[in-house]
Amino acid sequence: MQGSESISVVVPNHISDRELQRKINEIWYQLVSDLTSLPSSGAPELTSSQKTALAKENIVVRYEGAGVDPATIALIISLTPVIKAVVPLVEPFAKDASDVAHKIALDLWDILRQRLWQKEHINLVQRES
Amino acid sequence: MHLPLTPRDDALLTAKAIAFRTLSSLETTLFVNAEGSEDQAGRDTVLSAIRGLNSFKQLCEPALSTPTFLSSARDHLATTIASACDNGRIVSAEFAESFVSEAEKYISIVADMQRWLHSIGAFATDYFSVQSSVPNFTLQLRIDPDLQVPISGATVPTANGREIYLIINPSSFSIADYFSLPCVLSHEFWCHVVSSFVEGRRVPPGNEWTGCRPNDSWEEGWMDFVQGELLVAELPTFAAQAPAMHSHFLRHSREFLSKRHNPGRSILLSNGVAAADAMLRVLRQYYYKTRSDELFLQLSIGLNALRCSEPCKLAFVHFVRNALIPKKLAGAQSLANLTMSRHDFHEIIKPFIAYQHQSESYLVDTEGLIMAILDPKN
Repeated sequence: MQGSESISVVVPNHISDRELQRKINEIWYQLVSDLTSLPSSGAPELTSSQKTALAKENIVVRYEGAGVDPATIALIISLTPVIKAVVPLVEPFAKDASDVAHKIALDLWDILRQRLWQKEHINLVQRES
Repeated sequence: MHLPLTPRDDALLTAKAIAFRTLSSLETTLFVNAEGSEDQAGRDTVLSAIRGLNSFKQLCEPALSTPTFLSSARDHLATTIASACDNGRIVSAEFAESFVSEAEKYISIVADMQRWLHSIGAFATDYFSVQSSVPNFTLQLRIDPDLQVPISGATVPTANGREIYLIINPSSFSIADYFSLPCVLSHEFWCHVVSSFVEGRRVPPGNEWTGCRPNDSWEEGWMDFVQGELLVAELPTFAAQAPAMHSHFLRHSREFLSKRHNPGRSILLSNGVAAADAMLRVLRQYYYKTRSDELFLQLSIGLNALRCSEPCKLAFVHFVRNALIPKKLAGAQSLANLTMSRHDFHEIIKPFIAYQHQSESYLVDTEGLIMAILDPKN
């Protein structure tokens, strides 16, 4: 069961976690509005109520650690709320809904990350573990 | 990326620390004479020899034990100094003898830093009436050869509390960095370990402290000013075991803080420092220094401990800064001479009162504190 997913990225300059969270969720809202169906799920088209429910979920952005040198800390992007919202949408069609929801959330995050770069010129770089 | 200290890193950093301490205790004896002249070049030669320990380490066998490495490092330093200084033989002999004496007292850089943190933590208990609620904290020394600065710190949340990382780039680790390490520890402790652990009423459960922005004007700015004041005031106690080193810790801590607070590094951080400084100055106009300083500490430490939504603390800094620091100083007006009405003062601390009302538990009697601030007769 993979019910949670957190992505650790390098702390970007000139933008706080809150501002980044706001921008990410603005793009998330738009991304969900543009979706016709969930990527690589085999599920049918999303209904408008499903889209509304999905768009309501917030991606959470927070710092992990405190340090003056940004290289010593990380910014964590939590996709857990998205995964939890996707699970019921794929449950009727997938054997392991949690696993599928996890993959879908990561696919959606990839699209979102690209849009963040295109629209806001914010490049989030995944942190080495 | 920072990594755990290997025995080899520990040996090198311990040797450097001992050498820096030795030089500091000897510099007046060796490089200043009664006529008032000084031998700066001689001092630089010793520092250069200590820097050379980085490459010396590479030549030593990796399996060398720390005591053997220290002994070899002492011989290496003595030889280098003897051949490089004008009065090399005298300096070299004195240095080697003092190095041995210092090495007998100094266990390791890890033990040294643990002792500093313990002293800071023990001192801090005076400020927390509910000691059991203070987060547990542990310290790890790390090295990072790619670190842009010679020393740095970070605090991360753990299941049991907070973990402090003291991160060193061994190759650029200098005498100023060694004597600034307590300042990094003090910063991590006061700014991040004892922050946001008293739950405010309106904060949803599970909204734990996870960290903060590198240029956060509260934790990195305001609270850094607070920890700097505390450290400078308490250094004679903390460094009681080595009184000869006290002035070195003090001087380098002040330099370290001054560099950190430069707006050239971060305007937000610098604003936080300026706001805290202005608040303390204003309080000192109302009370005797000891009373005003105590009030300022209670206010700062209490608010830091409170887990309210992050923007509250940032808004508080912004509010204080705008209220106390005029955009343009007119004529002879200066921060020290700034006066304000009781009403103005109330306006400044109003947001703080509001935050406190959200909290069910108090570390300090903050309401009593606010009343004391508002009523100077108390």
